Amino acid sequence: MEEKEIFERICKGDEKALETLYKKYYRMMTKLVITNSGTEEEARDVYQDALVVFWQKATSGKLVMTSKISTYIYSICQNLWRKELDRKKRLSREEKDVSVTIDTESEERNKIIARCIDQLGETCKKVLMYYYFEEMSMQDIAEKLGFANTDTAKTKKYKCKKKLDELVKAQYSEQDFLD
Amino acid sequence: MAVEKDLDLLDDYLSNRMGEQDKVAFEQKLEADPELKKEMQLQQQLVEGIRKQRALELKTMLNNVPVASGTGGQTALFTKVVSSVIVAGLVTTALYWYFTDSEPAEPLVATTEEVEEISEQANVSQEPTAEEPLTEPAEKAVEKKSAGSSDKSATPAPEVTKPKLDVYTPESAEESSSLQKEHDQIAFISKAFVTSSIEVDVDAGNKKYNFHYIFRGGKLVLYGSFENNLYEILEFIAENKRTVFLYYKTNYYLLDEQVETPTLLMPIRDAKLIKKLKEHRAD
Repeated sequence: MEEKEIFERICKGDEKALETLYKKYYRMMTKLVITNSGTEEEARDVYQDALVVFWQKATSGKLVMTSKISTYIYSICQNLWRKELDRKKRLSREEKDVSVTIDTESEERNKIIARCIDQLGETCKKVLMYYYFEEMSMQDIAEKLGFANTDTAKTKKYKCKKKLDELVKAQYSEQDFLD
Repeated sequence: MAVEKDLDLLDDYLSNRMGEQDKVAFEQKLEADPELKKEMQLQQQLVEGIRKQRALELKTMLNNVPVASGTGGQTALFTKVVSSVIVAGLVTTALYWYFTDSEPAEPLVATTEEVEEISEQANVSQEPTAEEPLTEPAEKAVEKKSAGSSDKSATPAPEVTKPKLDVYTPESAEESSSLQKEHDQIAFISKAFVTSSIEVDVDAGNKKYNFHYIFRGGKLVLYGSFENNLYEILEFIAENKRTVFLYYKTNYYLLDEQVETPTLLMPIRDAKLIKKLKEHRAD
């Protein structure tokens, strides 16, 4: 697949094209981390995160490619890995410092939200993900999920979001997160 | 309770579907309306939750894609071919030095039929006329900077070292300092990581420049008839510095991102540096 085609397909939310891209630059990108004191696992993690960022920007139509895809992804990998190295450095400095606080409340909220999302049906999940993560247009969502038209997509999104709202709010009030 | 219209706006706001002006106005509204702001915070958590979940889903998908984490076939093959060719390249360099001045008007052809296969890197197709003028080097160290920026161009170091290769040297002082430049790169690339991310344009039709380069608008522009798939870019990055090398056919070239006019490509001759570069390409 040509680079241009890969990019166009990714912009349309074609996951197969993302997989192709993943394979294509796997070695090049993971090498960056591995040769800079990272493990293969960390390298894979950074590369995958970078691709997710790239995917999100591409699908939301915010990315105008002025360089090669590899250049762009490489720079994301670099940034992510630098951040991770900084984080590690900080952690080792703070190792004996007990003051590292974990925000248990917001962690708990995140768990609740994740659980509620899981309770939604597959289509609901997809609609919300495409809408909020990929930031696809209603037209694209309708096409991708086989809805009759954009109105159907809009209604579906509205209902799914409402359902999620209700689920989360119910859980929150149980946990006293809402006053 | 926030009104329906506000909730719609809130949704546009959180899903990045709001123009800059509306965004500013909405943020002002949020500040003035605590109830709406509270709702916003809740909705933001939901949207973040959805995004996180989706990112996780994509990562899981990628994790299931089989990848070869070992050595890449193509590059390995490339390197094997190259190592046999590099010796020929050095001999040719010496010969060329013996017979010519620094002008690359009549470049020698490094005969490397095997190299014809190879390499995923290049994406330009050009007429294969294969020139390769092998003249004295004037490579300079480069700072990591976006291409075309003009501060801090490294000047040749004053110290003079003995050239490794026993070749005719028309301007030995300049010569040696550029060799020193090359030599200085060895320590740098030992601690740097290597990549190849610069976009390359090839201008084959330029009458004035036939084996030259310049960095322009973040891209590397190569002038001359660069054969398809025969060049490779090696970028070494460490401590916010970047050094860029071109590998073409049998030779390595140190590129200076600060050059302001198309500059003649001159092969690196420092044997140790070449060895290092070879190792990196072999990885």
